[in-house]
Amino acid sequence: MMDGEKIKEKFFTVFSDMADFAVRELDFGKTKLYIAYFVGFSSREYMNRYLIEPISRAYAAREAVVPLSSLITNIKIEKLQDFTSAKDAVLAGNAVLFGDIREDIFGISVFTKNDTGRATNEPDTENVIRGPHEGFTESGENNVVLLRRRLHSEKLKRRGFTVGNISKTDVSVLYMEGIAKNELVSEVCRRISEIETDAILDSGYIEMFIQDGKAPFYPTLGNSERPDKIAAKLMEGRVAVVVDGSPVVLSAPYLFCEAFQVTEDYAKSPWYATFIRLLRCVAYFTALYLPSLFVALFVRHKDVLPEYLLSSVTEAREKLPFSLFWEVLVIFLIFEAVREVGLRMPKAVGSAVGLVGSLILGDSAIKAGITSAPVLIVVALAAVCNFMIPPYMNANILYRFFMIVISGALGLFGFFAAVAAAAVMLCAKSSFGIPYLSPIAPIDPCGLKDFIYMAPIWAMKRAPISITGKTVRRTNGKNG
Amino acid sequence: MAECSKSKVTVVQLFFLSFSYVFSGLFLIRERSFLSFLLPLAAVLVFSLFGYFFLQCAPRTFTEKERFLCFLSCGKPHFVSRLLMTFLIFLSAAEMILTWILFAYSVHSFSAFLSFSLTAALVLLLALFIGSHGLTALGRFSELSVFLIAPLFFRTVFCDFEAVDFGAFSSDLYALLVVTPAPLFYLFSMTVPASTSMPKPIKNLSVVLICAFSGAALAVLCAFLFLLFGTGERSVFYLLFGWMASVIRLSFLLCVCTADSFPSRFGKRKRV
Repeated sequence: MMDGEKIKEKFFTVFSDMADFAVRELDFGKTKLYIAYFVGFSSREYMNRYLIEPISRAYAAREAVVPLSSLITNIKIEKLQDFTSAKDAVLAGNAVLFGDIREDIFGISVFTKNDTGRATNEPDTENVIRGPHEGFTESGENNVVLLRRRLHSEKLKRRGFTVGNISKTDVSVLYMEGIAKNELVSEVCRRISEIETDAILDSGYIEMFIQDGKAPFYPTLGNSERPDKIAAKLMEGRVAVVVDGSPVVLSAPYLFCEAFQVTEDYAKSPWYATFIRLLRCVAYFTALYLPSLFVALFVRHKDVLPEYLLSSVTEAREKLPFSLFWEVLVIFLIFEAVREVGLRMPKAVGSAVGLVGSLILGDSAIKAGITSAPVLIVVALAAVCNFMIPPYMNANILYRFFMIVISGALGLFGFFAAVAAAAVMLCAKSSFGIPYLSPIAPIDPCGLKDFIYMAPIWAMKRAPISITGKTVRRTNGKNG
Repeated sequence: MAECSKSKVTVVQLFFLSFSYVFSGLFLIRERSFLSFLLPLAAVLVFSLFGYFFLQCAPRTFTEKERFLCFLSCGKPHFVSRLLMTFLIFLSAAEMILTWILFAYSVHSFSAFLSFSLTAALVLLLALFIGSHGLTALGRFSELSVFLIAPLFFRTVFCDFEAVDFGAFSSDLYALLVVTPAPLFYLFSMTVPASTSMPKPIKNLSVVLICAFSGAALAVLCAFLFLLFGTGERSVFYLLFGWMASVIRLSFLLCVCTADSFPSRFGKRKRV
């Protein structure tokens, strides 16, 4: 084994120009020990408590005959065999002990990572009125703990990966043995292990690498910051991917119907939950198709419209300089610009811009004779409905523009063709081998109990068979 | 022996494909004759019997029925089987062209601002696009047609009933050709129902398939009566529903007609 001084010199050579790297020497006369660490990354309190105090006490009382690893009062240590593993341990925030260790090892890595992460607050993007208010944090270990606290079972398995040549990010794949399909777990693990990149800084990077297709329009991986939501998905046979440094946990597969499901639905009356899901479904189709159908009928097929509706819109647009098609398109572009400004600006400015854009611009535009009230209503209704389905919000904006153009050019047939083409693409799409439109196409009776219609929890006796691939009984029904 | 085609169409999808196929036939010819309602039933009976005997009797020379079905579709079949398949494909090609023209005419009559040639080209492009995704995707697409029934139903509830003219008996042979489900028998030979999608194992494949097809034809009769009485031909929803059934029919016929010409195409394409 190398001399302690030489190892120290090698450390300083490798970590040259790194002012936060330090080596602490412990000189006990015949025995000289060194502790390598990064200032701030390793906790001073942990190093004092787990390393320096017990070792110093042992040498002072001349009780250093036992192996050094036994003196360290930290449950998480690792014996290192070479310089490379020691270097990686220091870079991971651990303190590495080397020198006159008197064991046939290179050094000992001690977990002293300074865990100053934030608390498990409720995520801002997934608020609920009734339900847990915990959220994932940037610590991968902590996130796995949050899941284990909900699923006290030896069947909750975890496989670990290190991804990123420079970032060396810890990625964990969690699944329920006996519920998740073996092929699904293997496929997820295979895709993660094949990632070749320099750094993984967020779960979104992993998502880009392992999702189906190069740049899918609709997501094929779910994500959430809520532990209860991910735990529920694990119980349905899905696989969770936890990335260290990201509070967003991925789930695979992700199906079309999941965008209409919210965690809070399961805490409400099934009747109300069904009503709300139906409302979301109507909102989805309104957001997607109302503007293009409006354009198709009022531009190309006025004869199929009821007389009163046609005359009402025609009167409102009597003196406008633009055609209906361009009017809808331009108003949509303006709306998206105002929305984007409202998102990017600081809250105080953003809300003021939103107010100016929506109320003043809209009202003034009607009075100035640039646009009409029916068009504004259609555009605003579609835009508001789009917010009800957050996972598909961005994709729907692009698709909606395409639909408006096609409908304006080809009328109702163009509308129909675009809808049919998109539907077929969704039918052909799959997420990790599971049909994307399951449980509606192909029909899965178990899954249909949790799509638009939400059955009571006690009535969902089996997990969706399209995901598990087998019959997995979840409940025996309701007694009494 | 050549491997089985990898198209997987479940029994439920077979039902909806058959439904769309037969319904679009009636929609496109726009006949309200009394015979139009009986023709699907007659076609079902004829081809069910034919299919039953064909599937039950012919495979006796083979050890397994599925091997026979694969052999029929993908390998170098016996002369009689080849003759039968050639006839079915010829019939399918004729139906495909007829469907294409009638569908384009249906669109053109509603969208007069589009020229007929442009409409025909767009219809063909759409069918090619849909058909290129494979029979499995087409089968799932046909399952979505049930969701169009909901707006149709709501529309009908607030509509007055219309009278149906039972007086016309023209173009019976024409109508028979349009609604003939010849390619559906071809679908039988290419369908390998996924056992995982059925709660109980399928004991008799031919009986289940024929039940699905018969049920689809009966559903067409009910749907046709319901829609014609309730909505009338001028309803936009009825039009969209008819177009959806027609594009499924055309895409399906395209799949049938290209399967034997380009068998490697299905093998190379990413399986759904």
